[in-house]
Amino acid sequence: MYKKLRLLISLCLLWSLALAALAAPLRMATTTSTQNSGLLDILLPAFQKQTGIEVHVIAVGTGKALKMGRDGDVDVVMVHAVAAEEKFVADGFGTDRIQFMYNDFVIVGPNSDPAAIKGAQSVAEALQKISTSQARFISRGDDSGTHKKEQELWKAANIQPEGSWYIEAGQGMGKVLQMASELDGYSLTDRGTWLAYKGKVELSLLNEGDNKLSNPYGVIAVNPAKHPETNYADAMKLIDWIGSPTGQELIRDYRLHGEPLFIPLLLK
Amino acid sequence: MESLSAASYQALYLLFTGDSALWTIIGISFSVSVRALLYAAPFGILTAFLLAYFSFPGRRLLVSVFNTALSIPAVVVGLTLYILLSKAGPLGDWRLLFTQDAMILGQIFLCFPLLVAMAHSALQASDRRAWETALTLGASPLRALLTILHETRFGLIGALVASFGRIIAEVGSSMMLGGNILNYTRNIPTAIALETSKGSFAEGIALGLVLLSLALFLNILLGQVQGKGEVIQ
Amino acid sequence: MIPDTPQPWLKLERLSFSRGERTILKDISLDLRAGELTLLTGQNGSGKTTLLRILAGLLKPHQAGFQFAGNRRKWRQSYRFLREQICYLHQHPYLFDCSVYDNIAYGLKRKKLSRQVITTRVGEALELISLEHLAQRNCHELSGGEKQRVAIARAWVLSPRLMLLDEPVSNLDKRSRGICYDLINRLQQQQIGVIYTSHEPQVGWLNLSRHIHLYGGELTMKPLQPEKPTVVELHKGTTGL
Repeated sequence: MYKKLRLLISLCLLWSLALAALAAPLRMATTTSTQNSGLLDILLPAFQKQTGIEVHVIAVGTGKALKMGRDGDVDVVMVHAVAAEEKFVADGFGTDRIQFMYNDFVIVGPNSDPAAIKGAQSVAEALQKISTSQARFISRGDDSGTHKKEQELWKAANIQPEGSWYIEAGQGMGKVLQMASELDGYSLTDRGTWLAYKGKVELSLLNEGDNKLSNPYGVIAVNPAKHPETNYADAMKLIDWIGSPTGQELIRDYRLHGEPLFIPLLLK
Repeated sequence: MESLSAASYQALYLLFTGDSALWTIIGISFSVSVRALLYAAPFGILTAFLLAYFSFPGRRLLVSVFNTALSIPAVVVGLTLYILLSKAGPLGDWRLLFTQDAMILGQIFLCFPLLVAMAHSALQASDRRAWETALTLGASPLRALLTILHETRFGLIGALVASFGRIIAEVGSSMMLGGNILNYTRNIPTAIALETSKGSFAEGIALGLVLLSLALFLNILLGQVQGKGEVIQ
Repeated sequence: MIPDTPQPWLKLERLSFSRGERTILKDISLDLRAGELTLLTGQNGSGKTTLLRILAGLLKPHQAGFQFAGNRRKWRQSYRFLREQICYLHQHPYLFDCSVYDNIAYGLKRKKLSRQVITTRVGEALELISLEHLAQRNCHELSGGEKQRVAIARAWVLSPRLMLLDEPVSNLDKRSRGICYDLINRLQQQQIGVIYTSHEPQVGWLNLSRHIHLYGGELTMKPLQPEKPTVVELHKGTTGL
């Protein structure tokens, strides 16, 4: 009886050890908007098929994603916040950064467009109209890449957004779009999340195309000099693969709700 | 890696220097949860009393319903109310979504089953003779009810404290219904969720410490109250 | 009928009560007069307590007729009146979690009397039970006998027409029993009726007016000890006694 039990327990232990040894997946921190875009569901299986490396995606805010990289909790980081990325590399936490694609931000708002921003020539003009008409604006307020972008845009338009019309939500992009819809407010969103939510919220796309609204994505390996225990070798395989024609073509051909979303930067 | 002790030290600094953003969040948390409890308490205790003292068809079923409702996750409560209160929902005209009132509503629904279940067991353990004695001495049913509540006050305070503990630390429904809006619907739990997602752990820990000391305080209070109850009985 | 007995203030007619399939009280009729001290005996489970709780307006009978000073009333009109006029004391009385003084004052406060009147009445009650020195003591600190006396005083201050004592001495020692019997005799002198239940017929110390016995859900009259005066009025169904 006891012999059998002991045998069973040792088998179990062996099994879990074997599993642990086999499955050393690559851990990648990224932003929720990247994951929500659905691109990773195309890219990563293709990558695994070619290299046999499984990638575990941890989708959090930009700030947290970079912090996970700084703390060595992940092997590779994929974000879209140029200044923060550059600082991450300059501080020595990241290495081998490439900018591999971009999409863009758009301003959405109530179908009735109370601030009349449709047709504004620039994003600065649109923001100006929103602030002068005191129309509600829902900000991410969460230090995310999108939030940082939004703050840059206000600054560039020389506006200090404050007052009861400026609502700092502190939530993810999808939630903020729902809030904008419920509260009849404007918001800045990445195009991917907008396409995913378009049919579910009472909002319209009101401003796009200003080159200030471009949103480049970077992928960065966590520096093995800081965190030797990370899986640097596989991280580099992923970065190289994303920059390769195979990866870049997959990005170019990706469609969300029938519309192209990302423009590859490294396709010759 | 940023050490836990450094984050904790910074957290204490924020708390004791009266960081206004931090204390605004704490204030919102308390004002929302206290109001929710004040609305829920009379109905909850009355329901518990009816369940404990009167038999009517469906009473057992109701007790089971409340006991089951204890294990409903906060997000489910939040989601249900969200659908009801959203513009497209049946109560959309009230325009309550993303207001403190919506958070209060969510917290009322969250603490109600716990309040009823705990108050019910306190009242069920109470002495039926107290009710009859009050009536035979000429008390109106309402006055007799108040007498029973006084007699079972230790158990009832326990129920209130536990309910408050559940809603003050609850994140799911507050996030969905309140929207985590700065200076309006951002309370301690949703702020912790936000600070964590931003990677700024010091603020998160500071708020966590507030919740922790609150829990400690409530537990000590509860222990005191119930200890006193035991000595008397 | 004995000619000079006063009119009953309450006539109970054809009272029945059953719990589930089991009939507990069958067609009971009973007259109640001021100042009567009635001994109600019966085995455990014979329905004594049920009868008292119905009389106190705490339990709804399945069928009953009430006549208050000759006026017929339904249960819905009766129970408030019963609660006002009759006080029921549990076998182990329940004292509220507060001082002896506040317990005795409980019913008086419900009558919205002035504070001064309440103080006087409670003072009298404390004197009646000789517990003046314990007025501010919490009731949980009292002995069994003291609790019983407080419960009697708490009912007495309300000047009820009738007090229902459910085996009040069953768990008391000899000395406390003596004090209780004494108190009950004094209630009778003040024209407060008492129904006193016991499962043993020997209650030599009480100045009984009558003795009724409950068996199989029916009431029968029993003879009192010879030297005691009898003032008895009792119906059993239609047969009468």
